[in-house]
Amino acid sequence: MSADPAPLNVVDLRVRLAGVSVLDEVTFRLAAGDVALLVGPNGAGKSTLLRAVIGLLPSHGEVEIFGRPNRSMSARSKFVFSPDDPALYEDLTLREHARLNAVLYGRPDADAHALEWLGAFGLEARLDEYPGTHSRGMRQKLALALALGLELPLTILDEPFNGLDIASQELLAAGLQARGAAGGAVLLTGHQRDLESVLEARRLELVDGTLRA
Amino acid sequence: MTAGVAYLRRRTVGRAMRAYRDWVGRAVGWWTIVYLIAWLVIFVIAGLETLTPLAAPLGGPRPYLVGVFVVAFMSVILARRAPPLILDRRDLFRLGLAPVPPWSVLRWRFMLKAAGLCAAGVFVGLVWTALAPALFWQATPFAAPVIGLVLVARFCAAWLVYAYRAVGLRAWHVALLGSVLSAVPYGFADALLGASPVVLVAPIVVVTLGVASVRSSLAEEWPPRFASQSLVLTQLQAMRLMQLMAGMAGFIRQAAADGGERRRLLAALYDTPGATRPSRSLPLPTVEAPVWRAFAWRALTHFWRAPWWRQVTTLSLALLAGGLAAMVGPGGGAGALGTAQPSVGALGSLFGGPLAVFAAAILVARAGTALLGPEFAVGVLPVDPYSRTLGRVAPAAAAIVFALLAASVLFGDAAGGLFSGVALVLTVLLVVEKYGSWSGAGAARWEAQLVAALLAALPAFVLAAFGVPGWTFGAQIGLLLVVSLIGV
Repeated sequence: MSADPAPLNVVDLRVRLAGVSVLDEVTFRLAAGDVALLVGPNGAGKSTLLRAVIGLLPSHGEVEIFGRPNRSMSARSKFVFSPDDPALYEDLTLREHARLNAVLYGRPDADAHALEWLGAFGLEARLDEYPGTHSRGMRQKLALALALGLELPLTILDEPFNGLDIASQELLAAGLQARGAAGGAVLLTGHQRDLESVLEARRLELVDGTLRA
Repeated sequence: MTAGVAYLRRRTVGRAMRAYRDWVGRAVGWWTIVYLIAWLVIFVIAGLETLTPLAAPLGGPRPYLVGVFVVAFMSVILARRAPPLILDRRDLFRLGLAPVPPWSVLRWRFMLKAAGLCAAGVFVGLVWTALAPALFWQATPFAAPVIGLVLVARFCAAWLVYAYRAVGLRAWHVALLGSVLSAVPYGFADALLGASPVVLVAPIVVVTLGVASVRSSLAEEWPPRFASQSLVLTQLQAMRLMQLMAGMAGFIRQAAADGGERRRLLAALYDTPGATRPSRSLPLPTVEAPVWRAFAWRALTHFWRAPWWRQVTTLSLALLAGGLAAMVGPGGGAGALGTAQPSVGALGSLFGGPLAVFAAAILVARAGTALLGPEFAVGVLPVDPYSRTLGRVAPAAAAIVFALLAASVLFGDAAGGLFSGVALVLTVLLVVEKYGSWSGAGAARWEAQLVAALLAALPAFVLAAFGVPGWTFGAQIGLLLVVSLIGV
C-alpha cells in the first residue's frame, strides 16, 4: 500500500528564460500540514519558482501536485494561487468576485468563507464596491480572501504580506498557520525581516536560482 | 527648483526629439520626406492655379462664420468640468508636488498645445485665404493668424473656466464674451471677410490677456481637482492608447473588454455615481450553480452594465443577424425567404447561395462576440473548456435564436429552414468562442470571426459545388456536433 501523495513534489526543476538560467535543479517537497516560507533576495527567482510550480511558465523537471502533473485538471482543483500583484476583474464588485470564485471552483462554501475573510480584513462595508477604487493593501486583501476562502489542500501565495497593515498581517499569519494545522499545505514567498517572527514556517532559501537547504 | 524643471524639460524633450529624428531618418528617410514635401508644394501650387473666381461671389457668409465662432466658444461650457491640459502621473508626483510655481511645471505643455492649435488654425486660415478670392471675391490676408490666435484664445478660455470655476467664473460669461468678440465689427469673423489689419487687434489682445490670466491662475496653487482629474485622465489616455494599439493588431473590440473600467474612470473624473460601485447589477448565480452559469452571468453582467446606446446597438445587431440567418439557412435560400411568398422569394434569390450563408455567418459572429462577455483566461483554474464555452455562448445564442424565431414567425418559415438557421447560428458561435480562446487572440478579433464564418459556411460552399445542396442541412448538423465535441 503506497503512502498518500504529497501536496507538492518538485524534482530537479529548471527554468530558462530568454536563454538565461533562472532556476537550476530545484528540488523540494511539501507534506500535508507544511507551511513553507520561500525567502531570498530580489531577483533570486522566488516568483518564477511559484509560477513554474503551478505551470504558468515552461520548465524542465518534475512537478506533481497530489501525485498528478501540475497542469492537469485534477491538480488544478487542488491548489489556489495568488500572485504578488492582485489579479482582479475591475468591473466586478468584491461580493461578485467571491461568488464567481466559489462557482468557478465548484466550492459553494467558498463564497461565505471569502466574505468572512473580507469582514475580518475590515472590508465588510465595501463589498459592493469596485476594487479599482481601492488601495494596494485593500486589493491584496480581496485577492487573499478569495484564495483563503477556497480552503484548498494547497495554497500558494506570492508576497501575500505586501501592502497589508500590521493587524491584517497578523490575521493572515494566523490564518496560514490554521491552514497548516488543518492539514493543508502552504507555500508562500516573502522577505520582510519580521515575517519569521509572526509566522512559524519551514524556511526555503533561494539564492541565484538555486535552493539552499 | 524652477531651473530644475527647465533642465528636466531640456533633457527629456531634447532626448525625445533626437530619438524621433533618428527614427524618422531610419524608417522613412529625410530625403524622402523632402522629396514628398517638394511634390506636395507643387501640387498645392498647381491646385491654386486651377482656382478661378466664380461668376458672381457667394453672398452672405458672415452670419455662418459668426455662428461657427459662437459654437466654438459655447463649447467651452461643455468642457468646463475637466481640465483641457493635464500632467501625467510621473510629472504630477515629481514636479507637481515640488515647491515651484505650478505655471513653471505646466508651461511647457501649455505652450506645446497652444502652438499646435495655432499651427492648425494657421493652416485652416491659409486654406481660407486661398479660397476666399475665388468664392467671395475677397482678399483675406489676415485669416490665418486670426484663426490661429482665436484657437489659442479658446484654449485659454477653457483653462480659465476650469481653473476659476470654484471662485465663481461662469463658463457662459466667457462663452458670451467670445461670441460677442466674434460678431462685432472688426471682430474675429471679419478677419475672414476683409483685408484690414485692424482685425488683428482683438485676437492679439485676447490672447495676451488670456495667457497672462492662465499664468496668474497657476501662480501659487493648482486648481482644486486638477491632480485627481489628471490621474484619471492619464489612465483614460493610457487605456485609449492600448485600445488603439489593440485595434491596430486586430483586436477590434478591445474597447468593449475595457468598458467597465472606462465607465468607472469617467464616473471618477466627473465625480458622479458609478465611480466606486455599479449602478446596475444582475442577481448573482447561486453558490451551487454549475460553472457554465458563472460564465453566462459574467457575459450578461458585462452587457447589462454597458451604456444604453451600446446595448441598443448590440441587440439590434443580434436581431439583424438572427433575421438574416432565418432567411438564408445553411443552404442559402433554403430558409424562410427561400420558401415564402413570391415578394419575399425575390429577396431570397437575391440573398441566396453559399455567399449569403457566409454573409449571415459573419453577421452572427459580429453580433455574437458582443454578447460573449470579456475574454476569460482559464489559467490555473480547474474549469473545463466545455463549461466556459457553454456559459459564454448561452446569452448570445439565446438572443440570436430568439431573433431567428421571430423572423421565422414573421415570414412564415417551414420547420426545415428554422432548424437549419439555428444550426448555422450555433456553429458560428461555438467556433468563434472556441477559436478565440484556443488561439489566445480572443473572439473579438476579425480573424476568429472570419474563421467561424468560413467554417460554418463550408458545407454550403462544398455541397453547392458538388451539386448536392440538399445535403447541406445534414452536413451542417454534423459539423455542429463535431465542433461542439472539440474541447479547447
